[in-house]
Amino acid sequence: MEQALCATSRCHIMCHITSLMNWQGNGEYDMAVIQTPKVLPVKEVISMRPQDREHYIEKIMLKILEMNPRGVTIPEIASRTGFYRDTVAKHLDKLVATREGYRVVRGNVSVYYKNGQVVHATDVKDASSPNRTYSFYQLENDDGRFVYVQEKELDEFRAVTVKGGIMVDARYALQFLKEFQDFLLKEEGD
Amino acid sequence: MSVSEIERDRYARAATITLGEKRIDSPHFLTRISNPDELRSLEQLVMEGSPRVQGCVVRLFDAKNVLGSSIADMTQTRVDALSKYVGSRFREFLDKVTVVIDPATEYLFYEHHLSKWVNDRALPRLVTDYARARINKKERVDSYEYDNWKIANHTLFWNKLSHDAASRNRLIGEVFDLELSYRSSLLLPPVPVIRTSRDLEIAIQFNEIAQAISAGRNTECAGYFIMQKGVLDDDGIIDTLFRYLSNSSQRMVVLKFKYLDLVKAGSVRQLIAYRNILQQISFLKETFRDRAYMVLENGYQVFPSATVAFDLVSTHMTGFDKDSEFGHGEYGSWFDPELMVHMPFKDMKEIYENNQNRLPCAHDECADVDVNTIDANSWNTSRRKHYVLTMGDYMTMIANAIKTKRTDLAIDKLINSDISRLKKLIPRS
Repeated sequence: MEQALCATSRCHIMCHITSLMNWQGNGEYDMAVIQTPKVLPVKEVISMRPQDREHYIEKIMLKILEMNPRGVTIPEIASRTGFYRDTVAKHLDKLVATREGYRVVRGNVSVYYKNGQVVHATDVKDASSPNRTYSFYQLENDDGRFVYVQEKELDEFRAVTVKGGIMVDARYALQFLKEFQDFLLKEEGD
Repeated sequence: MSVSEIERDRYARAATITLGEKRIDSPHFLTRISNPDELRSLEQLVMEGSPRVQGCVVRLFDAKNVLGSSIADMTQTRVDALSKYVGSRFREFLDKVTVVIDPATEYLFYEHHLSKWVNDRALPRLVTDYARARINKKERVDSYEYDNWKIANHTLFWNKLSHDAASRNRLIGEVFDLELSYRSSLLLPPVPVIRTSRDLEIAIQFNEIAQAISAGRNTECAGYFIMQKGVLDDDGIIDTLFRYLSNSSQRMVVLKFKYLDLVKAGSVRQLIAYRNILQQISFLKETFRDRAYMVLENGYQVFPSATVAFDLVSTHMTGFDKDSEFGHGEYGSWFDPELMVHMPFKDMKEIYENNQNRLPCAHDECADVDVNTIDANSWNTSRRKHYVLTMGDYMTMIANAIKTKRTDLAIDKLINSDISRLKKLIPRS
């Protein structure tokens, strides 16, 4: 009930922490079990080629974020998957950088979430490069509605890689567009 | 990948399979092509908009010869008008067809094509080294000793890979990279040909790891199993395989039954075993409706396979999937759409004359063929196109029968053919 009433990010994270940590009688606390997909043994993952390994771990991280809408922390993922914390952190940060996920920091704890539910999506080809596409998403999460522009690129093997992205609060999207237009016109004027 | 069922009639179904940006209506025939001439013939059929000709299968060791130069042309910027035209035409062709690159790793066991592994530098080093060692050994020892060594060496090769995670994972990754470079719409992992239960264990292990390795690639990774026809009636192996298939999460499963010819006399046990396999796949397809099944190098079994179990079926463009030791005749045999078997060219003249100087076939492609004057190359091109078009007709026929809930018509079709014994593969109810 307490969780359902939470609206702000700050409150959201507090709820997360209280729900994940189960106090034990001896004064220590245990992490709640998070949902994870089937993960290969670490030995197998280490033996993959670096590029395959990176893609694999990234996909696992994204899947974990999807499966845990209440958020996950680095130690939770590390303990469940067997991956090093640094590895987990690196991949989660990459997902945050490309706006596929987002992070809420509270003190020493960072909780990671999947970046909302896609309400609407459109792809726009980049006229300057046949291998680049911009995907426009309307996302909805606990913090509201957002316009998410994702830059995707086809690599040499035609695999789509997310190269970057920006998120704009839907309420300010038009204002953002106007600023962007003004910037372009000013650039042209110069 | 997604599968949406359109119609179902008891064990059979018609569905739309989406592989990335490509859509295929099942049942569908994907022809295997093995040289640039066959590619050109297929390209013509696709560009003419022939129904149910939307895909092809190319073996990995053939891919460089078949697709390599066209892909290179396409990816290079040319300034002269002619090559630009060729490039754009091939691009259009690729946009229309679903290409499946088959790693065909059973040829690390079988002798045919062994030399092709050595000649392509793009192929994984591990495989080329293995093939080279085999060829060298064959030259140095007598055939009896070589045969024993070959089996032991092949077993050792896959067992070593099974235990050496780094080499195995690198091999899978490299094969996937190659398949994608040839524009494959489906990733098939390298797997050993299943002759024993240990081979099956290794194949399952490779398939599992391949699923993980395919994660970063935007292409569906299928479960792939190549079986020697001898294991068809090995209940232990088949049970283990189907237990795995029913518990696995793969949405596409590709099977290959090497050198399976159920039309041949003396294959009764294999016929019954294959019938059971078709029924098990049909059951899986009914249980997991979002999954699709494909069979490669299926020869004369294509028609019943597509009727009962497999969404996608494939044979070579000639209809023959055997590896012949001997050279082929100058004029190849023609596939009779009614009798459903190949007719030798020498019989074609008589058939042609008895049919008022026309081939007994309704395709526009075949209408202008004059059996008496045609040269061997043109004949061989025509009969290949005719085979693909006929298979397309069969697939349309099956899809229509499913839509009208008259799948049993397929049994009638087989009864009136020269491969009538295959009617046993189709359940009556």
